[in-house]
Amino acid sequence: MPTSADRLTEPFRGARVSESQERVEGGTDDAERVRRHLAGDPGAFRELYEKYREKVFASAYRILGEEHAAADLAQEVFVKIHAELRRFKFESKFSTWLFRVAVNHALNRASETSRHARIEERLARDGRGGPGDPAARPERDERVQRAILGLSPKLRAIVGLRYLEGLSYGEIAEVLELSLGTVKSRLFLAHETLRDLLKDVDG
Amino acid sequence: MNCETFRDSALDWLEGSLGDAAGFRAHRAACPACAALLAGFEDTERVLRGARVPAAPPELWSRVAAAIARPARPRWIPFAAAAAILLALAGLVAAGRPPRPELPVTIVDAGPALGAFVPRYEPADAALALGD
Repeated sequence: MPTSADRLTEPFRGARVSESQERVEGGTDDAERVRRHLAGDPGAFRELYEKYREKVFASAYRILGEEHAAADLAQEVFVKIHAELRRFKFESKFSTWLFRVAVNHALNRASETSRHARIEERLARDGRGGPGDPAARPERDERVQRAILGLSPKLRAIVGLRYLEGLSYGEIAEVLELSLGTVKSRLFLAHETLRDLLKDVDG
Repeated sequence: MNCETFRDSALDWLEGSLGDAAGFRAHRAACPACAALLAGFEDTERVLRGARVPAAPPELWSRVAAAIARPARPRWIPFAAAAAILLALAGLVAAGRPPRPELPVTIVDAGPALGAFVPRYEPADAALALGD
């Protein structure tokens, strides 16, 4: 079974790849897959899953900061999406809807888990972090993740959508149902905080 | 452009959507504080874009597939269950209500009818007659 470190050596499927993939495939292919799924094509949902699994998992990981929790959340999101696909209105992009479900789920979960922060801190001190053990990750990536976890969950969500998913500010506003100005002001605040925390990390 | 509008435009610059790029560049060249702010933002952006995250676990699809293969619980079941619980509770309340205590029935002789209480006076002359 691959470890976290092994999986980190796989090609990164975050923003850079996804942006080019999005440009090639576009949103219309997603709509077509949704239609095929609704028409009974058993492979269509799997295609949507394969296209978005890393994005959903990565967004959840950025907000929750823990791999097990991110995997659980990604599973819940795809199950919910599968159950609700019949209600999908083709007025917006499938990816916008998917990210909205994922981020809202993750923010709710982050709110719940903040109540158990003391337990998590104790587990971390005891070194019982499981397969998501931060020590297995490259230090640089771990420092970035720790810095992001210093932000509020709402700011983490925006940072993830911008720098993992590669969404524009306008797309982030649509996903989070916020005004463009709010997105920019939150991202500015995130930048101001992260600039100090990441100033000696090599880009 | 001044420092305030420069700050307001910094994110648009980073996104590549800024209209007045020439004014922005001119202010950056003239204002070391704003230039430092932007340089910090650009460095942060570079670090964030370059940071990797772990890949999704390989068994995730099998978990998703197992979950969606489970027969979906019909939406009416929770409502039906709630209604059944309410009915059952109502039945329990009704059944558990203590019966009204049966008061001991005492048959009271109500006595004569009201008319019977009307005092009857003997004629005065008759009483006198008793003293005889």
